[in-house]
Amino acid sequence: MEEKQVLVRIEDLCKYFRLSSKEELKAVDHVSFDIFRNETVGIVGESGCGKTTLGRTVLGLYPATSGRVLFDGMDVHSAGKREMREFKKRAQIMLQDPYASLNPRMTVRDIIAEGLETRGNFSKAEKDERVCELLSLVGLRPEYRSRYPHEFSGGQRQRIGIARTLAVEPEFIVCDEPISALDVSIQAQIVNLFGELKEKLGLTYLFIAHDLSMVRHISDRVGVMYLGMMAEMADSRELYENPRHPYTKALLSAIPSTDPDQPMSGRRIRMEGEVGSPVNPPAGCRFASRCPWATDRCRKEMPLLRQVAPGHFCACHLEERQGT
Amino acid sequence: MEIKTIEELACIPVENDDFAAASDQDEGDVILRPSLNYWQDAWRRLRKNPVAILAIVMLAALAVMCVVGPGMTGYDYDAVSLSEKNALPSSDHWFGTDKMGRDLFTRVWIGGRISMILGIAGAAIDMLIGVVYGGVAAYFGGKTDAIMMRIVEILASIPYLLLVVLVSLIVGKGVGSLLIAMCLTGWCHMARLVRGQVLQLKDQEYLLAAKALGTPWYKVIFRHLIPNTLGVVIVAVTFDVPSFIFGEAFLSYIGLGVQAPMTSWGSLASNAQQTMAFYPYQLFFPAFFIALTMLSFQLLGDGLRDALDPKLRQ
Repeated sequence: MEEKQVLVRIEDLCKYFRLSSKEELKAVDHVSFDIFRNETVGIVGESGCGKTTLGRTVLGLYPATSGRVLFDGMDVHSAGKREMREFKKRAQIMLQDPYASLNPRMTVRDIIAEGLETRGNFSKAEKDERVCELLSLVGLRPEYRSRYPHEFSGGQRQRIGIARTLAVEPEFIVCDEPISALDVSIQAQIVNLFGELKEKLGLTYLFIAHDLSMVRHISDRVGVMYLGMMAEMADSRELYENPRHPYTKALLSAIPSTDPDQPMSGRRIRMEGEVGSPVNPPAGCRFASRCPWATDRCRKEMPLLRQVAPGHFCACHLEERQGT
Repeated sequence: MEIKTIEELACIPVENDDFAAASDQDEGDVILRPSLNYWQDAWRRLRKNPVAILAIVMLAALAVMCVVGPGMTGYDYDAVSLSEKNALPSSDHWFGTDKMGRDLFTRVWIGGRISMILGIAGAAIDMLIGVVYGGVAAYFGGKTDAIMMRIVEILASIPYLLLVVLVSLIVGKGVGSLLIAMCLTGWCHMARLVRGQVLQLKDQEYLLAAKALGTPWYKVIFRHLIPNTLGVVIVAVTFDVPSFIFGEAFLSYIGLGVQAPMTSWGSLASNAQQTMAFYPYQLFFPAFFIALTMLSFQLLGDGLRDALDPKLRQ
C-alpha cells in the first residue's frame, strides 16, 4: 500500500457558540482526525451533532474556539491574509441547499466565473470558454450558461454549485450535505459525479451527510459524530461490518433493508430517551442517556477516542474493557 | 392525403428515417440566448415593457419642457400684468393667467423645475444615505446594528415640521433649506427597509459560498447585496419622489417653502385652490402635471422592479 500523505490534520478542534454569559453551545468538542490526500472521509451523525460546524470550522469560515486545523502544514486559523487567499484556492466548500446557494440574480456564467476569478484575471472570452468546459464537466450543456438559477431543477442547480467550486481548482472540498436536499434518483447521480471528479481531478473530500448508505458508497473512511464529539471512526468497510460504538450500532441497525427476503437483518437496536443538548452536555459519555448498555462509569467519566483495532477508533468505555 | 380507415393507414409506406433514434444533441432544442450580464439583461427586459417605456418618455418630455418651457411664450414668470388678471387659457396665455396676471404656462414649467429637482434630488439623497446606513448596520450586525438603529429611531421621532422650521431659521428659507430639512430625517425609512433586506440576505448560502471563494467585500456588495436589495429600494424611491413633491407643496402652503415670486407645482396648486370655484383651470394645470409625474415615476418603478427580477423574464 502506498504511503499515505496527510493533507488535513485536525487537532483537538473545538468550536463553541456563546449563547449568553453562562451558556455555551459546544457544537464541535475536541475532535481530532487526519484526512489523507485523495481520500474521502465521510462524517455522519444526526441533525445538530455539529457536522456542518465541523466542516465550516475546518475551512476557517468559523473561527475555532481552540485546537488547530493544519492544511498541508499550514495552520488555517492563524493564517495571514495572503496565506488565507492561497488556502481558499486549495480548499473549497460545497453547500447543502441548491436553492439558497446560488444568487438568483446572477446568470450561471457569472456564478461560475465568481469561482474562476479567484484564480486570477481572465479575459471575457477565456472566462466564457472555461465556464463551458466546467459545465460539460459536471454534465450540463454549455448553452445553459446565460440562464438564471431559477430555471433549473435541484439536481441541475447542485451541478452548477459543483462547477463553481471546481472553477477554483481546489484540492480539498468540504461537501456539506450536498445531496440531502435532492431526490433519491438525483442523489445517486450527484454522488457518482463526485466519485468521477475525484478520480479525474485527484480531489480529497470531507463528505458530510446523514444518509449512511450513501456515505458508505463514497467514503474511504467514515466518522460518526454524536453531540459534537467523534464517537467512532474507521475504514468504511470496517465501520459498517464491525461497528464498535453502541451509537454506530444503533444507527446501522436503523438502515432499512433493500432486500425484501431479508427484512432488517439482525435485530434493531432501539435508542431510548432524548438526544441530549449540546448547550449543557452531561459530564460523562454524551451518549449515556440513550445507550442501552450504559454503566455508572459512562455517566461520570468521558470516554476518549482510542484505537480498538488497526485504523479503528472508538470512544466507548465498554469497548475499552473488551479490548484489554 | 386523407386517411379514413385503419386499412388505408397501413398502406402508407414507412420510411426508415421516421423511426431513427433522436440524436443526442437535438439541434432544435438548443435555445441560445445572447450573452449578457445582469444589468444588460435587465435593460433588455425593461425595453420590452411598453408601460415602462411610456413612463420614461413622459418623464423625459416633462424634463425637456421644464428646461425649454419657460422660454416658449416670451412672458417672464414674474411679469405682473394687471390688465390680464385671471385670464382664461387662450392663444396669448396657453394655460391662462393667475390673479396677478402672470402667465401660467411659464409659471407651471418654472415651478416644474423646482418640484422635479426637489423630488429627484431628495429621493436620491434619501436612497444614498439610507442604503449605505442600512447596509452597514445589517452587514456588521450585533452592537453596531443596535446602536445605529437606535439613532434612526431617535431621528425619526423628531417632528418633521419642527425640523423644517429650525433649518429654515438657520439656513434661511428656500429650496436648499427645504431639501436639507426633508432629507435630514427622510432617509430613516429607507435605512430600515435596506437593513431588513440585507439581514435576510446575510444568511443566504450564496454569501457563505462567496466568502469561501474569497470574493472581496466590494464585489460581495456590488454583486450580491445590491442587486438583491434593489427591488425593495426602487419601490421605496418611487414613493419617495411624490412624497417630496407633496411635502414641498405643503410647506410652501404654510409659507416655509419656496418664496414668491418663485414658484413650484405645489405652491401653484395651493394658490389656485383658494379660487378653485371660479378659476378651476388655475388648479387643473399644476395638479395635472403633479399627477402625471407621479404616475410616470410609479409606472417606471414598477417596470424597473420587474426588469431587475430575472424570475419574471419571459
